[in-house]
Amino acid sequence: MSNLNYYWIAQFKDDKYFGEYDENQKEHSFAEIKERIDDIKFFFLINKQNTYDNFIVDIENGSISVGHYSKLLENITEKKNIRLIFFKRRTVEVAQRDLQTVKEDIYFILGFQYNTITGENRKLLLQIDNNGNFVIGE
Amino acid sequence: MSASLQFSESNGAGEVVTDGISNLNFGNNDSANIVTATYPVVAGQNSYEKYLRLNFGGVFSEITNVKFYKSAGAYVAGEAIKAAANQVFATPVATTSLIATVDVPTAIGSALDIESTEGTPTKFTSAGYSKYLVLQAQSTGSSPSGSVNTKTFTVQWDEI
Repeated sequence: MSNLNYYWIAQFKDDKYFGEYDENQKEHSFAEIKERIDDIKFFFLINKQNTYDNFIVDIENGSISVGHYSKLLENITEKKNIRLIFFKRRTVEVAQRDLQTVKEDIYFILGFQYNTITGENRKLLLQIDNNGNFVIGE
Repeated sequence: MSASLQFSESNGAGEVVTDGISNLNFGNNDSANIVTATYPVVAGQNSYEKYLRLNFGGVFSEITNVKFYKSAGAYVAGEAIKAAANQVFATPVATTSLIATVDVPTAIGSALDIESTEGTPTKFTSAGYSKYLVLQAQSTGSSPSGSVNTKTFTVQWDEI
């Protein structure tokens, strides 16, 4: 969809890549990598206009980086069974009288779920708007 | 890649389906795309029930967590919009609905969960309709004559 400012790329453990857009700019569905989701090493969400504006989920170590260098979350706790979380949350408001869109929001929900060494199940998520503003939460 | 959303309305005893309707106006006629000046709801009476479905299209892998609520538009005195999600179609009536019996939610926290027809857990894995959402506008004798405030409805969903 052309009004989305970000696209994704998955890097697998064998260091092969699969992206939302291939070299021919053909779009690919996230469903195409769902069967290999456990083999993902890094997951990138990249701004179409500025590739330095990106979000990187390190699935092997359980951390999220924002921007080119700054790491948002270090490995402050030991994690295991780390699983990628990625989806878009869309909100469309329509007027009753004509069903025209009054407001439309899209957020990328990006992060991972993991277990602590004592077995607790936790999530670390970023809610990122289409302009790259984000909030972090569990 | 993204999904697209249209509203579909079903009317009549034999279910006439209108996809891509152009409004959600209530009226004293069982039809889609109602012009309220032509089919006004008289104070103290109800509109015909509206049997609506969300119709997702476009390109997506999976849609889940679909919510519906009224996000804006104040009621006038005696006005209410009643709702029921995940229904099967029945001929719309203008008597007080036995299907749409709860106030349409006004916040995401209490929004109606709209299910697909693909089973449980509910999700859309291809283009198609949701189950039916039934709405009915109701009024009382204290409702003022004239137009009511237009409402804004919100649909939220998660998509990959």
